[in-house]
Amino acid sequence: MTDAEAIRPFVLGFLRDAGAEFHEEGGLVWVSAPDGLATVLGVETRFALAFDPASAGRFGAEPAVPGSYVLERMLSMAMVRGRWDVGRVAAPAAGWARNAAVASRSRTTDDHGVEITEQTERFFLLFVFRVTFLSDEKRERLCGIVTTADGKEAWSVEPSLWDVEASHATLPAGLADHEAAYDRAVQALREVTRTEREAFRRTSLALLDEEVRRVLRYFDRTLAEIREATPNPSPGLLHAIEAERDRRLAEAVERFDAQATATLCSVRAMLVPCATLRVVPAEGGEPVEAHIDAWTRHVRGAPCGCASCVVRGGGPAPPRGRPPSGTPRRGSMAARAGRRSSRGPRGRPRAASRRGP
Amino acid sequence: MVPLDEEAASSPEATLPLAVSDDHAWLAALSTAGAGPRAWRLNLAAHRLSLVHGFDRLLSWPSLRGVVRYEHQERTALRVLRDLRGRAILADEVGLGKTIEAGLVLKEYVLRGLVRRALVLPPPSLAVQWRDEMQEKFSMPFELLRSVEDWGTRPFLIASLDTAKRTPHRSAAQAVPWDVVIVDEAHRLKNRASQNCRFVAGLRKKYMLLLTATPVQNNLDELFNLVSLLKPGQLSTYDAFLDRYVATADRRTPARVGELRGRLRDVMVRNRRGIALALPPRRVHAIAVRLSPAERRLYDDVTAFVRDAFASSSGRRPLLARLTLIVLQREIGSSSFAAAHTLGRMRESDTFGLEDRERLGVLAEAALAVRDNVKAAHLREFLGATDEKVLVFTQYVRTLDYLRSVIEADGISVAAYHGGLSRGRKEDAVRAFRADRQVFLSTEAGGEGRNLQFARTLVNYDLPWNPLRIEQRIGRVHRLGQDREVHVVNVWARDTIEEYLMELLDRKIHLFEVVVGELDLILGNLDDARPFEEILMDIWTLRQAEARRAALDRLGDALVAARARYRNAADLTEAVLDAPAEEAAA
Repeated sequence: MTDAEAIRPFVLGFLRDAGAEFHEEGGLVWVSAPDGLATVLGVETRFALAFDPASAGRFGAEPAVPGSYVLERMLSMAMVRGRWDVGRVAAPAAGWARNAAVASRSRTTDDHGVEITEQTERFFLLFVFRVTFLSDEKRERLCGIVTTADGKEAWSVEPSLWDVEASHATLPAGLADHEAAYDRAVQALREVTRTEREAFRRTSLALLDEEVRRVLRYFDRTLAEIREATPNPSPGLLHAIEAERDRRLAEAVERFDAQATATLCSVRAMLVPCATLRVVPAEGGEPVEAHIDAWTRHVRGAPCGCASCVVRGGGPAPPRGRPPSGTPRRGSMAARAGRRSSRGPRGRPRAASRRGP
Repeated sequence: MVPLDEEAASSPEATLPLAVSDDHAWLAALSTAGAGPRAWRLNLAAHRLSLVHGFDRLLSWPSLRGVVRYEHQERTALRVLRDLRGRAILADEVGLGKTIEAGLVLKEYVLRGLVRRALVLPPPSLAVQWRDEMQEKFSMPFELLRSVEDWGTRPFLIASLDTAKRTPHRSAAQAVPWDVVIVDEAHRLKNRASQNCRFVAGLRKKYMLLLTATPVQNNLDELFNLVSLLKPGQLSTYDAFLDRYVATADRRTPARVGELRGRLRDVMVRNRRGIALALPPRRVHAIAVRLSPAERRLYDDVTAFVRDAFASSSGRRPLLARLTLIVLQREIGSSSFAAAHTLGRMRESDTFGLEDRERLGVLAEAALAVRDNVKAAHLREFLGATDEKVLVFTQYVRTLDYLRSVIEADGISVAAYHGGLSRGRKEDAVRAFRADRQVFLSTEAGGEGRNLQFARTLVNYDLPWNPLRIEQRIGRVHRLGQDREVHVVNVWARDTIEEYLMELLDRKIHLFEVVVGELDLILGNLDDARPFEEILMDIWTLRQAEARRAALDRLGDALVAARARYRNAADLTEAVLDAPAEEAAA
């Protein structure tokens, strides 16, 4: 979601694309919509829109603000349409490949050792994913992954590059292997989001751990206090307290259950000027063949040291520390809660209740 | 969305697995030509616009209707969302907008897709008000509980705690996984052994908001119970809490106040009125009139009929007939015009016997014969003597029509507002009043949720028997944002039930002076659980004047006691939560 400034161009662009006519007057946008559009939006064929909430209702104007019905309908329609586009990136000025290759190398500042051996155009596929992190809060972002048309290589690209101007182009039938490219993009997406997912998991687990510790301490001590005060406490009372404890633990597990999901928003096929380079490593050694494109400026095949090259097609995965786990560590409070909540109120050994502060 | 695969299953190194939707189907359907760059860009823009970035700011403001933006409410909502993670006691002083704060939090969750099922548990007297506020201000489709099936089928439900906790509702309510539960007047959960508290504890919920201006009513146990319901262990165990935070045997004085308040800050938000949010004074004026002989006769005859019918019908006549009699008694207190129509309908109704219908016919004729009402003459006199914009409230459209005709005949401009108008016409009426009309003539539905603080004088042309309705009227002008002294003018006739009402509400509980929102807290302390209107009608229909007087005195005493109990609770809450630490511990 975002402010009215971002909503306005979207709404006007949507209306234009849907064949509606409109003009602005008196702080409202007056729209004449085709019948089909009006039906889908649930409005009359002539209606007014207000971006300013204070103007909503004037002349029956529908509010176009976050959460409003009309805006939500427009967003839904736009998300269903326009999931696929084909374009062609204009050829940049001469020398772009050499400059880009040099700029991407961390250890050299000149073009020594870079030789262009071939220049051509290739199709790439951009997959835009919506990544959602959910527990008792929600965080979302879009993530763009570019693959080669054959799906053999993939890398992430900055959002600013996704909707660059492109001229009309047609993707020849059979040229791209959509499914292989998609599967490769998903694989890359998993790599790109790994750190973020791990951080989100750790945060959720920490919250769960804190909650579980507090709940256990409270109920276990309460039981102990009751036993201390009454030599023969009512079993019914004790069971009720234990049941409440386990219900609270189950609630905590549900509440802080971290999830990460991704959905594909759209795909863009781009015909892009590309170059094949012969690169002599700065530290010496045999020259290697590398590829670079005029759109993402991503160098493939050469040890470039570029920070954005998180994903290397066919290359070895970077070393990692201790393998992270999707489940709580053994013996942690969160793990205990998970076990106990599924066992029910009587599933816990009595001795385990004795717990210090 | 169907998960394509889950990393955890396929890779031993996986962290939090990423479930990716299976998009192969639409990928396979891709043609070689695209939908065009414009549609593609719109798709991208739509996704960008709908992204949720945690709780970085409140998204709901632009979509709210008639909600003035107050910094303390915004700060509270963000604190609940970010720091308290949706589990909080909202303990603002009365009149600072706890309902709005709860609505804001709820709306933010709804906009982010984190809440799809919400339950509000208010006292019965506030259920309709909650529904109206959530619908009108927040556009959230809350519905009132009607049957046990509603628990499973209504995603946004309002049910009184009294109903919800009973069989068969209890188990049905507790079977539903609620995303959020909001309990209004949550001091009703002060006793952890009570059915109220056990019921709420047994609800499955992700977020929970407890709203109360007086979390400590009688002793500190109540504070412990409320906090433990929300976050068990936050104040340690009960015994440890008593040892550490309670200084005296009566459990009314806290110890280690600074530390206690520090712990409370993790679960509670309390805003105090302070200077910035102080309301201007409110002045009350009475216009007590003597009815004309014809009006007096009509009033007495109608009252005699109501008493006879009530006495003879008790327990036997249908509820509808009893309700009709109550309405008639209320209408005759408003105007002869309001009563005339009902008398005419009753005359034609099979609900009443032949003899009754004959009496009703005579009364209807008598009502139609009254052409002028003395109260209206006094109102015209009042309006003629002021240049202020004035809100005039009546309960009945027929009274409104009559008043409109006589006021306009005096050359005073009127904007009329009632429930029969469309939304657009209602907006027009408010705009006209703001622009150039002197009088906003409104029925009970008038101005709910609309900001009318630009006026500061209101006239109660008649008095609803439900005191909360009177309070709501006053709340239209005496609310946050009002910076001028407010005048409340009550017009009532002597020797009528309205005089009883004035005596009880004005002299016993000072209704016209208490802060809007306090009244329900006072009435909540009444031992008699019946609605106030019902108590009043039972007294009014007693045949003997002495019995009526005695019953009225008893009710007056009960109201005074209820008010005292409320004040004690407010004072204790203030001492524990607000007073300087050394003073609280003294």
